[in-house]
Amino acid sequence: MRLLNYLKIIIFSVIIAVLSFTFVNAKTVIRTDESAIGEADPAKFSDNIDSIIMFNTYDALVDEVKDGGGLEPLLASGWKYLDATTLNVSLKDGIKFHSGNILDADDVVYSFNRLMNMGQGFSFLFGTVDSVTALDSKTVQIKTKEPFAPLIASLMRLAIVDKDDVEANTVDGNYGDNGDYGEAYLLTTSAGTGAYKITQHDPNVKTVLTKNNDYFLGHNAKAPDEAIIKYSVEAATIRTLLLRGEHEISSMWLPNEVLAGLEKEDSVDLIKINRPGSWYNKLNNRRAPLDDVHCRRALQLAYDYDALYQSFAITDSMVAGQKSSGALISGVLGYDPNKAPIERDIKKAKEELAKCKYNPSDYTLDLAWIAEVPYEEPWALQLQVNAMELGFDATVTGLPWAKFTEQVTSWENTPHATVVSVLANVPDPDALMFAQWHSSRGGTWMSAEWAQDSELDALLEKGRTETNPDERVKIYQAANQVMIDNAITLFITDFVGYQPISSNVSNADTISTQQGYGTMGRNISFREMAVN
Amino acid sequence: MLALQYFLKRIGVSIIVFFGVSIVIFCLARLIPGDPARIALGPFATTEMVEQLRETLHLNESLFIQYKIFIVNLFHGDLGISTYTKRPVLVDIIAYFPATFELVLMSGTLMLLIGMPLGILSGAYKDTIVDHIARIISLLGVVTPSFLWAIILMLLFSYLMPIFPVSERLNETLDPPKLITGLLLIDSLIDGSLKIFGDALYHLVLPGLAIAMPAIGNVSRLTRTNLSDIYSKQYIEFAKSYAFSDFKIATKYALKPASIPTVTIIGLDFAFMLGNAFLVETVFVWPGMAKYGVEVILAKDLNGIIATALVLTTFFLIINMIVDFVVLFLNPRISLRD
Repeated sequence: MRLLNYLKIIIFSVIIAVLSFTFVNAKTVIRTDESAIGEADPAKFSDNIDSIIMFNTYDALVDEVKDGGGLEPLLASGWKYLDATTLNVSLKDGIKFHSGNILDADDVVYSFNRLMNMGQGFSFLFGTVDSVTALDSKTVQIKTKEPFAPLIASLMRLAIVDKDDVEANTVDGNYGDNGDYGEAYLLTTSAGTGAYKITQHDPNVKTVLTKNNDYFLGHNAKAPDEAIIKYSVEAATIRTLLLRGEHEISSMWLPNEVLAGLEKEDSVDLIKINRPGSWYNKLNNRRAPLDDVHCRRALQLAYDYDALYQSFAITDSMVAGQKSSGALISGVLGYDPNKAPIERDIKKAKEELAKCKYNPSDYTLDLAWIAEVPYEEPWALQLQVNAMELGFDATVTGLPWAKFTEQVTSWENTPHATVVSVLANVPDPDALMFAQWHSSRGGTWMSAEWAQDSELDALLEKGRTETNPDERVKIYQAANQVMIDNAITLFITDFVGYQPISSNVSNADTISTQQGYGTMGRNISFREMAVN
Repeated sequence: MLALQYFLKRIGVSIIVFFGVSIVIFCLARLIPGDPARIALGPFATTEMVEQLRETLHLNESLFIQYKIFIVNLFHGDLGISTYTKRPVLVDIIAYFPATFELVLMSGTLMLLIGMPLGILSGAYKDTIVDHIARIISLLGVVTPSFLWAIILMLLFSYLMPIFPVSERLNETLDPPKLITGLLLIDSLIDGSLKIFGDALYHLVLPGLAIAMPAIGNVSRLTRTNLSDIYSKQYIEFAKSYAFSDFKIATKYALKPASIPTVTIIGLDFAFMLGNAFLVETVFVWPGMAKYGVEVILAKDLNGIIATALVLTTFFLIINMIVDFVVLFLNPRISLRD
């Protein structure tokens, strides 16, 4: 009997020990991957992976409302326009940074000045801002040089840093009295108010984010304790990791054949995500023969959009693209889901060509695609086929990105057409359209069209200064029509991503987060996701 | 004394080669298209910031001045800032090199442990079924590139038969040991953690084997050929007539002379493996320098490119010197004076 009691005690102890071990190790984790390199400094955030880090570790004054609900205050408690160029923003009380410091207006001013003085990342969104000043500890005043309607949307990209923490960790550097502006410190650390903190960061290997338990908006009850972002992982490896249950969310850059393979697996779901971006074949509007609108229209009408659409097919029922109806895309103000997509009409194309002042057989079009993105090549080849149908000769070249960005600085060297993708940084059409197609913006990879359309310029300028949202919708829809009528660029398709996720995180919370936000990187919000 | 002179002479030659390579790489890196400052700061950076970075990197100076600055900094242990990771390049090298070095050490060990015995078996049992099987394995090793081996091995032993891990150097749930050498196998032993040692070794098997496979093929084929020659010598027939065991003949009388050319190839293979690790590192999510090397080329990170190339060069030079000394040891007929 005594022996039996001893046995009971031993078994009970073992059970307690095992359970304790289980609870101690019950850390939940979401592992995902992206293309290197991951920036941790909020003044350098610019692409998709940077945006994911930004939205998880920092907060801005403004945030996107889920499911297309516009914008809402985040660190701000509200805002008010005093006049067309003066905006007062009031801040919420008691919001804590990762260091424990309390957010105030000086942090906002410091964050803005730091972004602009460093001149990188999303600083280009604030070119019209004249000054940002603290009226008191809870109010910030933003003055612009001219009325600038996209200002509120742009504030989504001003990540607020902890001034005291950064200044305490500033060393000598290139920014005068501001030393290095905390550049070295923020290489591997987060100094924001976000729902997660950076606890490990190697920009070429991985970033580990750990839950910030003091986050003012709280977390989903099943949000992961830790999120791990791995950089530049092979597609075959991602597939194996997903199937072994060692990876939860893949990037959206997997080849279609890998996606098709994953689609057959029970342990992996493919989530359809309409993304705020498009594939373009950017026509150089200044180089003959494409400086003639009729030649551009001929190409626009000859381009085989059905074939392009099919090239995005993963399976018969899954196509990672959507036929484009112009420059306004899903998630951006002014997008009209009922607008008919642009279609091929070879008869009209030949009619337009007849009006072109150039003889197509006199020209060899140089068509380019970005060499680092091999799946772009078929879309350039498709244009070659369609251009040849019209009588043009055409060559297709894979241009390394670095060479393309160098060539595009002069219109004479910019290819006749280049396949490029562009994502909206904020859900405002100005950020997408002005930067690409206003005539003052030629010479960047985004503006390889070198557009010089006065009607379009006037509309884009008006859209910047008009503050009435309904009027802005009309303006941008009119601008969109000008884009199509004057064939400023060729729209290949709008982005649709299929993102594989493991059954470990396949649930309504995770999927609705992935599908609910349009701004680049905003939809990978770990605090809103759930681990099963 | 003669050995010391030889050693010093080899070091002198190595230093000349080192600087020769540094000049070539310094110039070649600048031929890659694109402005390194613009690439580093991103498409949205202001022109002023790009110009400021160009100044910081001395890109507006002549090539000669740029090289002079590089060499002066090099002697001060400063390899510059990586425009790719935004960290000092030395920090990057210290972070990434040990992972690759440990991987290559593992591959080298597998190359010796598998390649040599395979070659000995093949040579000792020439034209038998053992020889045929060994030759097929060697041939497959040689003709299949490492990155393909990486995918095949991952498919077989991580996916179809999930025996080995797929990625990284350690299980995510384990805390790495205190970094002393950067080599997890050694650091874990210093730390007294056999669990971490075992896990690190377990993670090394597949990537190590993937990198080693072509070298295993090389070593095996060369050992076989040399052993075949040796086995046709009269002194081997003589040993056989004394009824020495096959094992004794192979290991005591045949292997040493047969291994002299093999050692040279082993040395070269060992150095090549460092350069060939890139795609294998990518497949196995290995945080090593080979992957870093290719990323810095794509990003036109001039300091990163030169530093990576110089580390590889130094590795090649050291291995070559070691090989020469080992060959001297194995074959006393080669005199230092020769």
